[in-house]
Amino acid sequence: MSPAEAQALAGKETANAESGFARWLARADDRLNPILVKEVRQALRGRYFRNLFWLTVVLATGIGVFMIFIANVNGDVDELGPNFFTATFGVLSFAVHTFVPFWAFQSMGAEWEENTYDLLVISDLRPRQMVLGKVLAATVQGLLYYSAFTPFLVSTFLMGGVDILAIAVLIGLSLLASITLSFVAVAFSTLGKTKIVRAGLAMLLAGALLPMSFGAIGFGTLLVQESSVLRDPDFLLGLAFFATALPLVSLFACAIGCARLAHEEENRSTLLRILTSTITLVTLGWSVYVYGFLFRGDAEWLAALTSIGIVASSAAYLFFVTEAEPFGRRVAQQVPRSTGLALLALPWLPGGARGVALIVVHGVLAVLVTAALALPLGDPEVVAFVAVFQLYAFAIFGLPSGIAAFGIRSLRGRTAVRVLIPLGVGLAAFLPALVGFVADHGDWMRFEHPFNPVYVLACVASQRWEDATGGLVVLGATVLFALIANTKRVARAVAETQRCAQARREREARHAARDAEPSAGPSAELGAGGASDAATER
Amino acid sequence: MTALEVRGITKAFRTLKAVDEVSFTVEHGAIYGFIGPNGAGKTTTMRICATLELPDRGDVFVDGVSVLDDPRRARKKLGFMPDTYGAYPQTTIREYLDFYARAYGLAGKARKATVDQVLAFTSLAELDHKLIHTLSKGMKQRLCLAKTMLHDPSVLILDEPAAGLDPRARIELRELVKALAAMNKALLISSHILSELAEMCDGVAVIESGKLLAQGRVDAIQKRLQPHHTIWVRALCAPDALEKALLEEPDVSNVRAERGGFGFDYTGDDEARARMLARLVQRGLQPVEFAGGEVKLEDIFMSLTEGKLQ
Ligand SMILES: Nc1ncnc2c1ncn2[C@@H]1O[C@H](COP(=O)(O)OP(=O)(O)OP(=O)(O)O)[C@@H](O)[C@H]1O
Ligand SMILES: [Mg+2]
Repeated sequence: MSPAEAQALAGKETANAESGFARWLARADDRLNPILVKEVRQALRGRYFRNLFWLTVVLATGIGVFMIFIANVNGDVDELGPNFFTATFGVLSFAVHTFVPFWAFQSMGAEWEENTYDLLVISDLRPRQMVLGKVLAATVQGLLYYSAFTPFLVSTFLMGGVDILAIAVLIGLSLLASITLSFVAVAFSTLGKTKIVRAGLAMLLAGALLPMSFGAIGFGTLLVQESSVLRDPDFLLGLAFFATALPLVSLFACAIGCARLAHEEENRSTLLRILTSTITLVTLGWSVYVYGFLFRGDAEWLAALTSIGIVASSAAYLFFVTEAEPFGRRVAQQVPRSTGLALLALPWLPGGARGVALIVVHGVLAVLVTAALALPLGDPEVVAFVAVFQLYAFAIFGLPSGIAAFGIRSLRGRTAVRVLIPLGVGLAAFLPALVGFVADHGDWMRFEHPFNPVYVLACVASQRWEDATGGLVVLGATVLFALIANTKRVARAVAETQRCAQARREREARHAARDAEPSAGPSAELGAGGASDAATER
Repeated sequence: MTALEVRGITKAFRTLKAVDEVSFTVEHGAIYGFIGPNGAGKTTTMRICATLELPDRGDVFVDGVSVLDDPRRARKKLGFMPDTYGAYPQTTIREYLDFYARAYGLAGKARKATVDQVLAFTSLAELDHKLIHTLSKGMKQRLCLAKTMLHDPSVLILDEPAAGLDPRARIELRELVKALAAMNKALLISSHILSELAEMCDGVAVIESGKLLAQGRVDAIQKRLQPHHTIWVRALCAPDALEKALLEEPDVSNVRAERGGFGFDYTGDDEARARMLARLVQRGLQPVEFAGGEVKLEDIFMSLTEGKLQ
């Protein structure tokens, strides 16, 4: 029964010598992701995938033959290559950018819908393996489509009018995008377990994937028919930005999926926080490169890039600032043992107040980097723009979550705050406009009022300081209130972090003493650490 | 070390207290029955033990490992068979077990050998190529039990494993469970079929409305609850004469006509009981059957829970 016994049992069978290749194959098989193995086995036996696959191949062939026929009838063979390419890539794009990610979404969801999730989660599989397994299985399907369609696509090169380099770039990017979309689909799938929520999620995802497929077709057509864009530095920069963004999005989606699948007592926040910091750093790195070297002194690029970083992070911020304040029991034991290190790591540890600290860290970093770049080049207004942008982030996320932290403990309450924050920003922009409409106030009616962050930022960007004054006063007041609302909980979070670091040191000293003195019992560690208050507040 | 220790767990779903301060322990090699009416909180308690639900308060230790502090390590020591679970479509029995064996990190020949072993243990070896969504309920139960044993857990938690099994399969399940206990595993089993638990359990916990009403050895609970035995007697004499004689006996109460004889509650010890039988014979009442006094799980269950059900 036990692995050891089984091993012994198996050992008897190895009388016949195996070839090295078979051994290598067996070892590779052992390393395969279990979910991947399961899914591929199911897909091979099931009819669904096989039928869909042949259907798309037949469809693409049909369209191709039809187009050759039309071209021969009309006698214009010049356009045949590009048209044939667009048609076949169109079918492929739907297959790999819509069907395959949607399959990944359904496959993850089936674990809940078919009631198999409980058995899966108590097995030794890590959440990472589950997410990766689903994505890998989707990727295998995607690769099958690519292998079936690549001959078609390459043959368009032979028909003329299509650049082979463009085809290669397109297929590479499309594969990357397909994998990323599968990651996003699986992460999306982990957001809801009930039937109604899942139906809503499925519609949202389908609604997002279809435009992606169309976008890919448009992009592919552009790339193939005007392959000269591949020599345009602006286009290449966009392409490079896109290519670095995709893996980051994949990682981010993967981390969200893992956090959703992990046990509630596990640390579900730190990895996502590190990734958010990575996104901030990567966009800052891009700004350094673009602003400092590539388009030296182009302030618009700098402002745009730093904005992208924060907009991309804000969905994550929404979750960080509304997390339960105290550490869970298990997380409390994982706080670094040195107080200095623990305080340094504080913004990346779970808890709402520590989320606010993370926003502050990112904001300060962004402003410092921008200042270091822009001031020597004589662009102080870019620094002002980035600073105002970051202050908005602090105010928007810090104020509501800081106020809520005084009374709200339940998961439901925290979810409500998550919905209320974006809603509040929308209302702050919309309600004054409504008032302006009723009071017949022209500027306010056009959303040009101090409560609309977009308007205020636009004023700052174009250095219309007089128009921005009102907005900056409102922003200043909100930031002040946010500071007041957060002082207490941040102080508490710092104290808790210190306490847990100390508790860990004491616990480890106790263990060391016990190991040195072998007579002591083994169960002294139960309930140790700063965990007791966390348990009562859960 | 105690195999399974449930320490004061409480779990509420909104206002409903599904589990309320429940504590009990199960030792290695012991089979522990978990009984209670529908909605008593058995499944909730077991799911907390299996790390699938978080308790509001309290903790569970599996071989000394807390399911809250170290759920991953606890899961390795735990085998849990839920009351309802789904099966993957387009998957054979062997593939299903192979998948979980991979999930538990078994590799190469060891994996195949382990799968073969649990297949043999649950008598599924000949069916290993069958698709699981075509299996009968009883076969699925066996498969789930096989899956539960793959990683050789030291504590097994089975939620109504006998539900839907035919009489023969039940007896086989009982043998499986006993074999597992003989391998020094701790077993916590919930069931509605009380006679089944009685035959194999070393102890029981009775739960109702989330509260633990009693726990311990079946006969000990019985003694605490009912200081009297139930005895049934049938005689060849006229029923009136027998009833009159019984009513005159000391330690006898609650005489009632039953199955052509009389049942009654008796508080005396075995010697007094022997003397009573001798007196009935001496009086010429011609007793032909004189039985009872055995501990019945049904009785414990009824006397513990009937008050609450009203
Ligand atoms: N997820 C849940 N949400 C809300 N209430 C729940 C949930 N799970 C269980 N309950 C409630 O908790 C109580 C205990 O349920 P539980 O399933 O533990 O009972 P049980 O003893 O296993 O019953 P049965 O013998 O019918 O299986 C019931 O009243 C049930 O309605
Ligand atoms: Mg139940």
